[in-house]
Amino acid sequence: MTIAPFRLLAALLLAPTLAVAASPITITAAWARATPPGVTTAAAYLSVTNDGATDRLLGAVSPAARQVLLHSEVEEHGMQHMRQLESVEVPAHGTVEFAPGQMHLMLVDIAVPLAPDTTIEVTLRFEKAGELTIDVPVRDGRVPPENHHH
Amino acid sequence: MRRWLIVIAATTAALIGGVVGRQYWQTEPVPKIGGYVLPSPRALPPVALVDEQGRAFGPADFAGHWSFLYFGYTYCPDVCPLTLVELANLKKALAEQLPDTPTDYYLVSVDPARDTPERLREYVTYFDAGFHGLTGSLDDLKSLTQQTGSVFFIPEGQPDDAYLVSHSSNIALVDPAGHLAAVFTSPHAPKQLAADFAHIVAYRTRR
Repeated sequence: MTIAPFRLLAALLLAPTLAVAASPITITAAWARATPPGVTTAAAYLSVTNDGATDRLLGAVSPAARQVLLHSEVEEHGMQHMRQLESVEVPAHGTVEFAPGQMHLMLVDIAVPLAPDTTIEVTLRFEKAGELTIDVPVRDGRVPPENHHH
Repeated sequence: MRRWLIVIAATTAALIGGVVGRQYWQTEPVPKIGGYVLPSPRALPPVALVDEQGRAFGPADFAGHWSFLYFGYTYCPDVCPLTLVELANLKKALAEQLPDTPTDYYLVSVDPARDTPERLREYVTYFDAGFHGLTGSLDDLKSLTQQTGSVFFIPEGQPDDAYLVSHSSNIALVDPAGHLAAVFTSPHAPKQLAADFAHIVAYRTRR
């Protein structure tokens, strides 16, 4: 409790420079799949919660990859298609999930293989909330999440 | 005359016996699984593939064990690694549940331009040291996918080095005679696949 005034002070001081501090967008459950040998693509997953008005995720970038694409995994008549999305709506007071076999961020042309227990930086760009940079933990996709120490 | 009657009676009995026997034989319906079981296993087309060691591989090489075939490619970031993890878990489950029924697992790459045997070897063995990779010409891959209830295509208008392939999410099951026995449709859960496979093996053993 005693740190609350300091937090408030810090928030006031930093507010003009860090739009993120006031952002209604929260990112949770972020992780990226470690790359198997020889593979230069990977999927990253996360959950976007919006405590404000309707917003849109317009795109993402990462120093770990040449390009980050918004993809949805669509299944039609037993056919698996990856569809590139221009943007993803994040409804007011809603949550959008990027999860395995569904929507994901596709990292293209990864220069350095993604090793488990490291993190990569990903910057998400929202229409209203602006840019939001997060550290995404890299996880060994072969290990079930419940057995993982994170 | 009497001899003729005996012949006719015997023939009729044989016919009735045959028909009844055949009906009896057919009364057991194919097991219900997450997908479908073929009432009569189907031969695979005579495709010339290459395996993860760079060796020539044909349908006859499936003989002697049950084979699970998944059609995908290594550039695929999401659903392919996901399915290979599920197949690795299926392999572990079957090693416990049906230790005397040999099984093999194949990623059949529908992206032969990028998935060389070496690339496939590195990739599949990451998921399980015993996994295999196969690929071949687009024509052979088309003919194999068609005969195993799958399909794939490379949508046009994509960059040469960063294209995606649309592909079936089915897993084909080839029997120890090298014939297509069943097709599992997604979603694939290792527990369900293992239970379905046990039903298929039991059904085929009784027939």
